[in-house]
Amino acid sequence: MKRKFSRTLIAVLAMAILLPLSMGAQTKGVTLTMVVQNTTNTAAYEAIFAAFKAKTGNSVEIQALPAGEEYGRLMQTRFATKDYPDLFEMDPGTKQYIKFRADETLYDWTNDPIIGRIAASTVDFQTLDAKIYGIPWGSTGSYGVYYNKAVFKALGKTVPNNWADFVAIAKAAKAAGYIPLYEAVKTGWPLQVFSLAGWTTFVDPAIGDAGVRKLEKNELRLNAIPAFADVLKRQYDLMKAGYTQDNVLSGTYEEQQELFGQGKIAMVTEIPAFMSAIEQKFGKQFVVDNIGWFPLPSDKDKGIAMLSPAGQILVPRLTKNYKVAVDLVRFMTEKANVDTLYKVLPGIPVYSEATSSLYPAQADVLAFVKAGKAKINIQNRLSSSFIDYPKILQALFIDGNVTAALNQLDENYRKTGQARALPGF
Amino acid sequence: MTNIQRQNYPYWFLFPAFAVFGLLFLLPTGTGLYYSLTDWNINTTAIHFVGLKNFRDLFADKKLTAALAHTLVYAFSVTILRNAIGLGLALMLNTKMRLRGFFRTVFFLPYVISPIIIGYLFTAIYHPAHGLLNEGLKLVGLRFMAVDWLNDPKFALLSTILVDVWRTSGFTMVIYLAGLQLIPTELFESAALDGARYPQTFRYIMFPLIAPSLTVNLTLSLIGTMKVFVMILVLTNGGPGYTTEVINTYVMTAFSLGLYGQGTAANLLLTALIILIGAPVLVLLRKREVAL
Repeated sequence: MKRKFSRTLIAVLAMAILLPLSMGAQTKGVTLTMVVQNTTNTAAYEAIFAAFKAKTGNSVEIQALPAGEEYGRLMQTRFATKDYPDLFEMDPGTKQYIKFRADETLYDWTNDPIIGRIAASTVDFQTLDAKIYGIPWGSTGSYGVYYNKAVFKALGKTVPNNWADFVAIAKAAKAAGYIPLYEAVKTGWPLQVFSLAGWTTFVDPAIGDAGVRKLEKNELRLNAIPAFADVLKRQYDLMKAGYTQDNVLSGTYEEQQELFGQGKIAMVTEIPAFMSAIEQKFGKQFVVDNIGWFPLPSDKDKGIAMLSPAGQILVPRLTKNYKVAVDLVRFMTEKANVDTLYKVLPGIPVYSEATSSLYPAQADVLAFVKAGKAKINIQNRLSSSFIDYPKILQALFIDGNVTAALNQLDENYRKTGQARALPGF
Repeated sequence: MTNIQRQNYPYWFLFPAFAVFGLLFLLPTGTGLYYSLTDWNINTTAIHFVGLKNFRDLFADKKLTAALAHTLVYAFSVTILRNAIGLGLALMLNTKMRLRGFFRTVFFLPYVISPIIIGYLFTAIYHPAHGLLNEGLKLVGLRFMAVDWLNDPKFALLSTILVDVWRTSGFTMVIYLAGLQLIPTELFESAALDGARYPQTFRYIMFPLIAPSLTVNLTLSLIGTMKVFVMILVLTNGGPGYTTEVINTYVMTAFSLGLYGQGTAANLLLTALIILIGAPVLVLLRKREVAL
């Protein structure tokens, strides 16, 4: 009896050990981890990754991290602790190469065939010292004012021709019981959009490209640009005039989307991803029918569009699966898959052979680009960064001290330049 | 065994614990001290000694001064309030009353729940438009008191303090209860025979004899609240602006910006502050225990 029990026990134990082993042996392929911002619409990724799995047997898991400045910090921390994902999304531009010490950590795409299929201006934008470490992904968009066309129609208003018009729209919206301009102050990062979008309209014409070059070399201080102070003051003045929502400091991105979709908000200053967020909640037709776009107008004209280039995908080359990750990026950039991307997220494409349609709001942006009235986001033109910007702007909303905000911003900008060992800092 | 061997005998037993303490506390603290004197950041390939520069930068930063002030206000307010409430609850639940066990459990329960969950719970309760608190205030005709608890700079720090007091008062209650139950009943009986009333019994019997409980509660409260982090992070993330920034959120920001040297320096400042405040408080309370 005892012997029988022992044999049974041994057989059960053997099965318990061998079964998982044999199941593991049956599993083919590897599972990659791709990190994205939590504001990303992942529908295109999911479709493309499913096709990749069907073709290669390799799976891809999407890991969404908090968006905005925090996302960059989290990724840098992961790099510092050598906790590399297999691939990850990042804001556009070569500044990211410096942040992630690309020459030591990232896969070099410079001579890859993908590069030949990308628009020349984008390739140029992504090149630093004749090297390309990031593969553009997405479309060119714009930070600016996204407005609800139905609300504008109800107010009898059209796109503003100058700043006075813009304020008049806000005034009319408030009088009619709408929230003129919703600021997601508590969420933080959306608060930056106003001044970044305002930079191309107000600051670029004041300091010119020469001024931006000086900023890049730390020869011009952010707190020595009156036009920049003026932009921050305009944002604060709109809030003080009551043209933002009640309880302005508790405004969140989620509530902003909800109220915009319900037709309670006239305007928001937002990023292009706002449209796909609205589409997910209120459907594509709502975006097509109801969302329009315009840049922050100047005192004299309609203003200058701020362009946000397509984001990029970076592949750390220090992971054991980096070759599979490289294959995945090549697969993602095949025509059929970039078409999938632009079908889900319409926009101005960066791949020459891609087919894409535009939302009406994106067509509004394109009109400014074609008229030569567009400039790239200042954050993407500088190697240092406007660190802690959301909190600085929150403090500005509390105390109204533009000078203190600019001083803090300037200090952080120079500190970051020093930390990144940039020339001139 | 010689006399010397016999004298050294206990040290051999102390050695393993001391080795672990050294490896896990003294060594990291020592290396932390070293890194606080360097320019170590996320972008550096080589670390350089910069002397006291990180500390000079810290003291020149108004954000740190504000964080320091908020930390102290938070620590002292929470410590005083939670001890006052905890002692009150302990005195109440030390009497023979119905449902005593039930109330003891109820008051202790918040301490068992994760601070993160409590933080999220109160984010909803404090919501200016749809939160339970403001809805309740409006319902009883106190609409004027329905403010934006977590986002109005005037109320944000106070709101976080109140949540922590609610969360931890049950714990201080338990420590005081333990102290109260150690008091021999004969003392109460003889006080009653002498005609002592409750305030006198409390002043001359209970309060002196729960001195060890007071020492434990005050010391633990002060040290714990000066290290506050999770509650602030979840409820306000140091905001709006920098109005609820405490030293630990300041340290977190420094680390997340990749300024490791400066972050370590700020962390050391917090350690020094805890020692500077915690040690004298502990010594004073211990002396008081002996005197009583």
